[in-house]
Amino acid sequence: MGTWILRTEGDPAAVLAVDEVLCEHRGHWLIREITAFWKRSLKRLDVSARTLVALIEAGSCFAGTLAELALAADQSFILDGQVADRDLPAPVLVLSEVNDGLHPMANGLSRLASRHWGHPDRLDAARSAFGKELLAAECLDLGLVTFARDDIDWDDEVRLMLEERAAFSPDALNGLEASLRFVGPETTETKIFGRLSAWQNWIFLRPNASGPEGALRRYGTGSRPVYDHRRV
Amino acid sequence: MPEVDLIAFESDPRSYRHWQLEIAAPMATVTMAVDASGGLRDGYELKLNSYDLAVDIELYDIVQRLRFEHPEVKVVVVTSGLDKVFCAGANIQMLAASSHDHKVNFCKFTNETRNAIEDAAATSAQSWLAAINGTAAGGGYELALACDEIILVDDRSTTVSLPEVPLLGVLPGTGGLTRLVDKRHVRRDLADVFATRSEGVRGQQAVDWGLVDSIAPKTTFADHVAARAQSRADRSDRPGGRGISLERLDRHPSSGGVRYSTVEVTYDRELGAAAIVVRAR
Repeated sequence: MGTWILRTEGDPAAVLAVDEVLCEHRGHWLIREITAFWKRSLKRLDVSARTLVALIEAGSCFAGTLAELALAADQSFILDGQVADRDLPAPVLVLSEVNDGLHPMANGLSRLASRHWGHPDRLDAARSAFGKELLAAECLDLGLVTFARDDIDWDDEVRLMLEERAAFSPDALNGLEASLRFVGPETTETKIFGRLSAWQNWIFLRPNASGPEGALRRYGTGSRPVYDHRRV
Repeated sequence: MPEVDLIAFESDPRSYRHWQLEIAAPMATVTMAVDASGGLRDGYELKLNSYDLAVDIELYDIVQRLRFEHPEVKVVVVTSGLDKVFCAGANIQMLAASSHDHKVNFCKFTNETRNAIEDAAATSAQSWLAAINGTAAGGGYELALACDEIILVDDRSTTVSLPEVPLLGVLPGTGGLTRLVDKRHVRRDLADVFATRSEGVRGQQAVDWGLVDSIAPKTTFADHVAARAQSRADRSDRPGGRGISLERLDRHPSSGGVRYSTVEVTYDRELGAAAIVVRAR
């Protein structure tokens, strides 16, 4: 499974009501734990070696904390308008104060600030839309989604994107996504998951570590490892 | 698609094989005593408190439970139940025998556990203190590095070390190199010496280099650890009282996906995609 498609179902107002409790009782030990657990879970999405695609469809509830799923995605689609023959209203994205720092990424920034890195005006525009039910066109204007598609094109366009993605080298996609997700400042955490882990994972593949004469394989055997001493 | 054995990530205190959790509020003591035959797979023995994913899954569970189930715990002391060995790090036979995927994901998981330990102090006022009562090598010292404070027994033989580069040709990749310089502010040339000297550093030199915060001889070690723990507990705003219990997840796997109470995953094998639906009720 190289791609994770992120969807939600429910009432955006209900999600925002839960967020309000999280914010109102921020100092309470249990709320602190719940919020911290959300933060870490969302961070785990950020460091996942999977393509993340958010689909904002009719009946969805990408609001507040759950809007973080859309902001965590590498690409996102929102349905523009209603679905023919269905009673559901056109889907919306709703941002709130919780998207402004309650769930920071490893770089210390919110996903919203990371998205608009280097464009404080765009970040401010998104902030001024907090609490509003943003339809497809507004989401596009505010740079909050990648694509808006109507009901007629939706299935084909989404499928095409997923098929294209599945045809790319998974290794190149890992590198691409990890490089684009974390903008701006480095922290201990970004260095561990980026620099340290990336080097380690490369070293793991090299014969000097994992080859038959490599150090990992030779450890404990009594014979010394044989290294290729050329620096790469 | 090749068949793979699914790894169960859930654990609970009744099933721990590698750790003992003892609560004496405001302190919890987490004692590592790895069951050598309790590894995730056959083919290696987890000697000298070396660990594999099975050991770390339990540690991850402990970190979560201490936060949610024990608001009365303000400081956590991690120590070893073995004589002369704190922790020897990741098991090398396990690493040598593992596929590249497994190595990568093992490291990612263990990194996340250590980040969660750091997060406990940063966001929950529950700080972790490493009481190194025996040799801490590689991942063993890296576990201590994830704690807020490190105390080393001063007995002329116990060392902390990062021997990965000289002995194994790989990195101390569970945050070790990064935390040395970024978190503990060890001077970079000393960090270089430390990470290339397999025998490690002990006693006062470990304090001088910034590798540990304090040392104490065996006779007063327990008292010193308890005093440091109390001092940290005094600064915590955790309220005490009863916590909430983390119940087993209501999980229903099937060939087409997996369903939880609020999240459902459906596999599309043709597309290589998993659709994850989060339901707010």
